[in-house]
Amino acid sequence: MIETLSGIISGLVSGMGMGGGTILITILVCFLNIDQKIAQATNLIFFIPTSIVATIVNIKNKEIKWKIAMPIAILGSIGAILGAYVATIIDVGILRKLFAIFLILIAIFEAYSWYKKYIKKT
Amino acid sequence: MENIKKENKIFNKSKIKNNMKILLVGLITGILSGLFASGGGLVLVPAFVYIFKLTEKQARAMSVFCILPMCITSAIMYNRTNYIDWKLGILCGIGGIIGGTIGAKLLKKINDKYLILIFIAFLIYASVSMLRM
Repeated sequence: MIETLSGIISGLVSGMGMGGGTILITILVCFLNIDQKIAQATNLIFFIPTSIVATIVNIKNKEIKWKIAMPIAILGSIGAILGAYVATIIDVGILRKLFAIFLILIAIFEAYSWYKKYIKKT
Repeated sequence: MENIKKENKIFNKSKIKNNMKILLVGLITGILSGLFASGGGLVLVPAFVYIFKLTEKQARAMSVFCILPMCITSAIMYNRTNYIDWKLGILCGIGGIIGGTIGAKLLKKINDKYLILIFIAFLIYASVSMLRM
């Protein structure tokens, strides 16, 4: 039940266009005391079916510029193999700390673009 | 003739520059999304908007398309070491479908000015508590 509830929360967040995956991982790790690596791997399972549906819709709506999207998808997959390999071999505590730093960076970036969008209004 | 050569040179230069951008953005997003199994969209959407000058809508659509293969390859890597908890994933997934549908509808109705602030506050709280764990 709690698991489904955390899914609903992160679904809400990603439906509104913010990082749903990061939210799901943080809820699982901080509130459900699930191992960082298991939380990360679970997020992938969570993301794949929803993004397949979304992608089919997006292709039908012709939103995708293939010349940019294709090479990024291919290069990204190569990068992802590297990143995932590192994630599976490093110490879970270090991975969690790196993830925390990543969250802070996202928060700073979001705060900066929030400021630009609503306060500065250039 | 000289002019055409010059134009070609400029064209090639901008083409190389564009390819470099694609190379860097692709690799960085891939490494991050493999390492953290998330956050790819948070990097890709602004990259598409600011670096490739696409609209927000296109950026979101393309980021989901690009992240999909990264997710599949990382899932294979994580599965090799048995880190995937299928029961947990399915339970969260059911919630995700419900939440995602509601979220997408809410998106059209509410102002995200304050939501983003809540999101930022949550991120800071979560990262501090993770660092102290």
